[in-house]
Amino acid sequence: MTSRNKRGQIYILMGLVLVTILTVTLLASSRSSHPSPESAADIQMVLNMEAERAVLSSLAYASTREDISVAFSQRLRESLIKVEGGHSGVGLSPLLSEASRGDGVVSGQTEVQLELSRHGVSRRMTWDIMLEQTVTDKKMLSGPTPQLVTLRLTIDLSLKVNGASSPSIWRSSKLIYSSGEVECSLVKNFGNGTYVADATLLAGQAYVDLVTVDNNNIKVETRVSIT
Amino acid sequence: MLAAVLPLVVFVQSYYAPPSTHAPSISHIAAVTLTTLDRNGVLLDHLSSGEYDSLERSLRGTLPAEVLFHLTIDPKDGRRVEVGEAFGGGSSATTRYVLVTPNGEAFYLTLILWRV
Repeated sequence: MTSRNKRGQIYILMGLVLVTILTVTLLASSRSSHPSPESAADIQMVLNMEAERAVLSSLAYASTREDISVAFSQRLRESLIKVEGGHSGVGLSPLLSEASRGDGVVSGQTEVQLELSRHGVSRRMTWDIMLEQTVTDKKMLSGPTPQLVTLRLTIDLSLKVNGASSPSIWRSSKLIYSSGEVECSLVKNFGNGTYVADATLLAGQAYVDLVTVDNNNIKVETRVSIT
Repeated sequence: MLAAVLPLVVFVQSYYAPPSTHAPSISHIAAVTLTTLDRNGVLLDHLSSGEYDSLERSLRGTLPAEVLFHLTIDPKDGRRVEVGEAFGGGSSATTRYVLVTPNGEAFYLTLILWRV
């Protein structure tokens, strides 16, 4: 092989290497200027929280209605349609949902079918949510006049989502009794779901209904005997 | 010649190589940030009350210092609000998020994140 042929091969090799480098560089720079794609896990995490918020918001709305279970189902369906509207290729269908209230408890259960066509994901998500309010202590304090008394209540507020209980954040409370209702003022927040609240009301009540709203706007009612 | 070209190839590859798989991607940061703010009730609080400046501060406080953001808030029947830094293009991640409030109002959020 002549030295001329060798030189030609080297030039060809150098040319190939340069073309490779150029291709890699262009490919890398063109990729980096595009938004990085959302992974299937990330979009599922977002949809999971959006749907959980829709469930919490629907329960909050339903907790203010007489027909709690019907209101919960209807509002949840509407809310999930709104969530679907914010994403392309996403389907969220409530399979079953029901809600109930009791003394010191509001709860909602639902199962939602998630379809994520872009990522080929199809799965069921379930929520079992319960807001629980317990009055752990009550004290009668003298009011500003003999006709009025101040009731000091210690309240435990917890939110259970799919079995995991966490302290709930108090937003407001009021007492409803036979001759009216009165707002409670927060005296102390222990930061662990325990709150102390005062309310001044007419003396001589046998019981009051303590109505509390948490930071998700879910309303829960507990009957408190004060005799 | 290979001795001359190889360092160049290594340099180009290391310069454009994707970050370590252990480092969270920017789209993952966006997803975690919004879901965390929603789980804590911060998103609902600020959006329901229209406190968009507070929401901007909460976002800034949650994101790593080297990550900048631009958030667009589209209430279903309201005026669009934008907070954060002006996005000038380049490598970024966009995450869409929908929050439905207890009174049925829906907020459509678009969060764009990019590194400084």
